[in-house]
Amino acid sequence: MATRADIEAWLVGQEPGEPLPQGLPVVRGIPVNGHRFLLPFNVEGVGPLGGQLWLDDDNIALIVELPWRVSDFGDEIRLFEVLMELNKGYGFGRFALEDNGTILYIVDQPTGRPDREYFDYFGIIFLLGLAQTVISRAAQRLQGLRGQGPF
Amino acid sequence: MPIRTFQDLQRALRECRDVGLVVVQGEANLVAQVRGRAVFVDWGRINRHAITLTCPAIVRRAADLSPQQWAEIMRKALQLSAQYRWIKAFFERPPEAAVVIIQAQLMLPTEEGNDPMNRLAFLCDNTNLCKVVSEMGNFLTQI
Repeated sequence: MATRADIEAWLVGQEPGEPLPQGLPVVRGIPVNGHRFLLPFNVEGVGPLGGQLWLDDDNIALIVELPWRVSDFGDEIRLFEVLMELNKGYGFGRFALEDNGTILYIVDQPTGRPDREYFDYFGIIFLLGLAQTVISRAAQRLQGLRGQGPF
Repeated sequence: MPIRTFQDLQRALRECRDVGLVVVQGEANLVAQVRGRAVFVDWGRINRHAITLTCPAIVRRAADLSPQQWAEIMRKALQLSAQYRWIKAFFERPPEAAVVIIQAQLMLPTEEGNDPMNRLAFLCDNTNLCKVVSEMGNFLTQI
């Protein structure tokens, strides 16, 4: 477990107050504002994406805007059903919709106190890994709607 | 207070502001009344890494729904899921019905010492459970 300040130091490549655990992969975040970062990562079958990592006072969230919009798909019902089937199939994390039709993948969890036991470095690796796995699976599933959409 | 046992979970739920009745339904399941709605709570069976809270939020007779109405119901649930924290939406379609289900999962430590998910075990406590329950109650009032 780590404080929020230590996690933020790690994300920008600085030395946290406490030594980093062994075997921790390198993750780089670009500070956006406050406790929010842009986290570039790659998804198999999709390509490079940018997730927003929010380190809010009582919540940590990775929010990924996907390169697909509802209007790209001819069959809305099937699209929503596929997103919901994925929601049912994978623990934590979810697909959701912005009012403007952008499709999001969000994985979030309540945290501890920012200045004490806030979250864990490996927890962020978990959020990223889950996003990579599930978004890749979604791309495969949505390929099935080919001919009605952008693929 | 950390939640480490199913009994801890029962106590924690009863202390949450948004919870009324709590009815135990076996060794790992209970039903909690959240703002008047029945929320099914699962201790590590649906997902061994999670306390899973599930609520059938919208239930309709399939015969009463046009495809367009079904699409609008799903769209609204997916939109609310972007606005509220920790809550996902999916559906079940048993014969003759269409059900939108909302669900939240709070990480639950396992018995295995070297399970990497257990690094987040400290987050499984009363405060976070009540926050998730409260968010689910808010979601339910909007759907």
